[in-house]
Amino acid sequence: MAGWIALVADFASIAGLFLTVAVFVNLRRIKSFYVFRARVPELTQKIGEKASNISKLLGDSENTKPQVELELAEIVVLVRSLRDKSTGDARLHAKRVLKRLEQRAIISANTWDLYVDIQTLLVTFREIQLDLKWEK
Amino acid sequence: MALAKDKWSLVVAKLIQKTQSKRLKWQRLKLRIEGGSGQVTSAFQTIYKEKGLRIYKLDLGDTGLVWNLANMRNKRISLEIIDAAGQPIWTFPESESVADLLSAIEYQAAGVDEFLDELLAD
Repeated sequence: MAGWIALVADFASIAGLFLTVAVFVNLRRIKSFYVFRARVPELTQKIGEKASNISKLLGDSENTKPQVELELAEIVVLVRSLRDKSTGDARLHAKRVLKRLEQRAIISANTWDLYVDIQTLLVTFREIQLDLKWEK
Repeated sequence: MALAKDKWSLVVAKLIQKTQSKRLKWQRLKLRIEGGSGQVTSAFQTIYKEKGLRIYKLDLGDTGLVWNLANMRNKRISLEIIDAAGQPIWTFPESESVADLLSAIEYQAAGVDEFLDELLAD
C-alpha cells in the first residue's frame, strides 16, 4: 500500500513540474502578447513619423544628409525595440530591416530603398495588428 | 537574403520622388464624394504612364469611429487610379506613404520651394 502511495506521489510531483513549466510558458506568451499589443502601435507610429520626415528631407537631399542620418539612427533604435517585442515572421522581418539600416553605409543603400523597407515593415506590422483584433 | 518590398510602397515612394523632383505635376481639383459622408479638404490629380491618378484627403468629421494610419483622427487619405471620366477604378491600400505623397504634393502646389528661394534671394 505504502509503495503504491509513493508511486502516486512521484507521478503527482512530475505532473506538477510539467504543469509549472506549462504555466510559466503560457504566462510568458500572455505577457509578450500584451506587451506587443500595448507597445507596437506606439512604435510603428513613431517609425512612421520618422519615415515621413525622411521623405520630406529627401526632397532636398543634398542639404539634408545630416538630418536624414539622424532620423535613420532614431529609426534603428525604434526598429530594434520592435524586433525585441515580436515573434515569428514579424521578428524576422524586423531583423532584416534592422540589418539593412545598420549596414546602410556598408551596403551604400539608396535612402529611398530604405524608406521603402521601412514602409514595408510598417505594412507587415499593421497587418499583424489587424489580425490581433480577432484574438482575445 | 533579399528583403521583399511591398509593391505599393515602392510605387508610392517613386511617385513621391517624381513629385519632389517636379517630374510629376499635380493639379488641384474640387472634388465631392457622391453618397459618402465627410468632406474632401484637399484633392489633386495627375497623369502618369497614361493613367489618371487622384489623391484626396477626406475629413470624416467628428464620428469618433475612424482612426487612420496617418495618425490624423477622422481623416482618410486615398490614392486612386481613375478612368477618363474621373471614376475610381482602383484604390491603393491605405498607408503612411500615401500621406507622405499628399504632403509632397501640397508642398509642390503651395510653391514653398519657390517662395523660399525668392525670400533668400531678396
